[in-house]
Amino acid sequence: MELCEYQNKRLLRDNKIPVLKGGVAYTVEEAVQIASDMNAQSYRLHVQIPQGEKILKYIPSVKGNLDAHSIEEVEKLATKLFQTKVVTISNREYPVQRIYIEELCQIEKRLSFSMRVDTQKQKMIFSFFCKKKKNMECEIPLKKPTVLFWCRLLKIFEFQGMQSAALLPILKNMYSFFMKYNVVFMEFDPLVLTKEGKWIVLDSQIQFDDEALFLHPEISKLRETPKGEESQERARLYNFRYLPFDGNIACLVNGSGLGAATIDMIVEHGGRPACLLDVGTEPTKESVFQALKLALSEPNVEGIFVNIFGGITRCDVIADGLISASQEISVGMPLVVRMDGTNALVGSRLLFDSRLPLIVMKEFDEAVKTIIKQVEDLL
Amino acid sequence: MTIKFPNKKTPILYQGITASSGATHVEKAIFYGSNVVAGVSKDKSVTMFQNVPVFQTVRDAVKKTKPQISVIFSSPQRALQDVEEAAKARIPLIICPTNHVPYKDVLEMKQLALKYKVELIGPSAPGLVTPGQSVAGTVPAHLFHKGNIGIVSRSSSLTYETVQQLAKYDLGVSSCAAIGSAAILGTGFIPIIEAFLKDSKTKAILIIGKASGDFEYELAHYLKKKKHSKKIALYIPGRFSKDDEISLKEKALEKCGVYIIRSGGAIGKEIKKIIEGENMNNEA
Repeated sequence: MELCEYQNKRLLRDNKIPVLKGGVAYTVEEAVQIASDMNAQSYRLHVQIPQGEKILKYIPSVKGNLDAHSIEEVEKLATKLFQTKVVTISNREYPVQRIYIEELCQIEKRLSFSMRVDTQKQKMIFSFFCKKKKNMECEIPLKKPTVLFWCRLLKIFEFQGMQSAALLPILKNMYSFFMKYNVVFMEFDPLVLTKEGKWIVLDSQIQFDDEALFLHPEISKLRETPKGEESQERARLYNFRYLPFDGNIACLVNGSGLGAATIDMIVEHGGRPACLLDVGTEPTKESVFQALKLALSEPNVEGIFVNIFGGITRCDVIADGLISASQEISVGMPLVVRMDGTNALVGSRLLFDSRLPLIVMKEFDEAVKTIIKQVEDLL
Repeated sequence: MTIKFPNKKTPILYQGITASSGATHVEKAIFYGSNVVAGVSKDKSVTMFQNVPVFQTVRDAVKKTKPQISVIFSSPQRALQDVEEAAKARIPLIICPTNHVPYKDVLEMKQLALKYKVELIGPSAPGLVTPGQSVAGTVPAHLFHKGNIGIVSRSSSLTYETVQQLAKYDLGVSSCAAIGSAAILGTGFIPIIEAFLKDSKTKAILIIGKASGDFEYELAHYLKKKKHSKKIALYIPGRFSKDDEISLKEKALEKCGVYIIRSGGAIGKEIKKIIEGENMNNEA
């Protein structure tokens, strides 16, 4: 999970990592208030959009950078910005609702640091990058690092004297932040030296470990749903996984490996998957119910394929969920349920007795062919 | 390092034996015939559960019952602490089915396993089963038939699906290790493959891989240097969205003599072919 720039900066500041003075404004008046409180020479305005998104352009277009050199200019620029929309790289549109106002600084030097949990190396890695040198890396200790570690790090990164004295506290606090919040990726890019001789994090990216959010309710409550990801959000809420594709057959499965194999099989037999709904290995009736409801609400879905192999998963629980969802909303499209494994007979019986318009099958291969044919016959 | 698959006699400890999921799975394991010798519970009032003595610490349980495997049922918050307790008691094989363990904790678990020279399967791993003998973890053992195919898998439901496909061709399983699908894990493929190569009951090995991660490359590196006479087959699901990653892995392992299975619906059929090919070679 990621947060907005202003939320990141607030967190960094609270954890003793130097960022520029700034504040977030929802109206022009607030923007003016923040700027006058800061009382700086120049300001930069940053439009805030949900986490992980990048701005491509403004509509109507805004010329030049978003710098202002007086309170009046802040007011003018903010007024203009609040009347525009932004288009992101992923081609989503957001009206400008929030602006982060920061003082503008003169940059003497830029560096870049990142820390990550590297799933390839199965380690935590600290890396440093600046223009002149190539990328340098160092493994991060899991327990509190010793003085020796920091000395070695500074040596690897080739810092000396004044520079290392100034950077060390920032790196130390970066490490503490990384460990405290269960971060999986964190980047200070750039970390700059200002004309005044201060090191400051100008921009940052922070990705929190989704599996560890339960440890940090104060962070997870800050989450915002990016536009177009409402389905993913709903899936998260009801404990299943949702992956969209651009075909017309929705696949509801239990387990990610089986899901991947199911999608492959649909494609192998000439079908086009619309989305994958993975209720996991220990689903509840509720999550199955919500997953089917979500599939039925997607406009591009023309057929539904449920592929369940019961291990710990009980097929009767799946059947219960499917039945209650189909009773609430009429399905109105082909629905093939393939069930095998634990309690498959009980589950199939329940589905059969429900008299719902669906086909229950036992063989994976046959079931895939059936759903594809049923959807094709509709066209 | 290598692991030992459980048999009827392998003494197994269950940590978190009275937790709801622990209780369900330990009942199933005992019913199946696993030799569950002890449990650990933080609930001081429990001293027996399903005729199994329950201890308050892993150390006490190890002293009295000498388990070879510990299966850990705990919350994501507690998993690290429980793994540490088992590793410190030097139980050689630890299985942790707990889901949603933070990355940081998993990395720490890996270090602990290395330090105390124990194998850690998981977290979020279903575990091990030797059909007809013993089950350790959450694997639904009733679905498995006895046979001579060894399975190591990064998937859960797909493994059970595969077992069913094998059964259609009268093929059974010697042992199966479902090691979990998380990005960061304890034991990878190698200790399991090594065990299969040594195991006289295992004639052929099936690997169910994953598009992401490096386990397949590590295995290729290992197999290049290893002399063996067993047939190994690989299937990786997820071609639709990750064709490039999967193709690279398949190529790397194909070079080491591994058979590649490309369709998830035909795993049973392909394995049958591969094994029959072996018979033909023997006759020739």
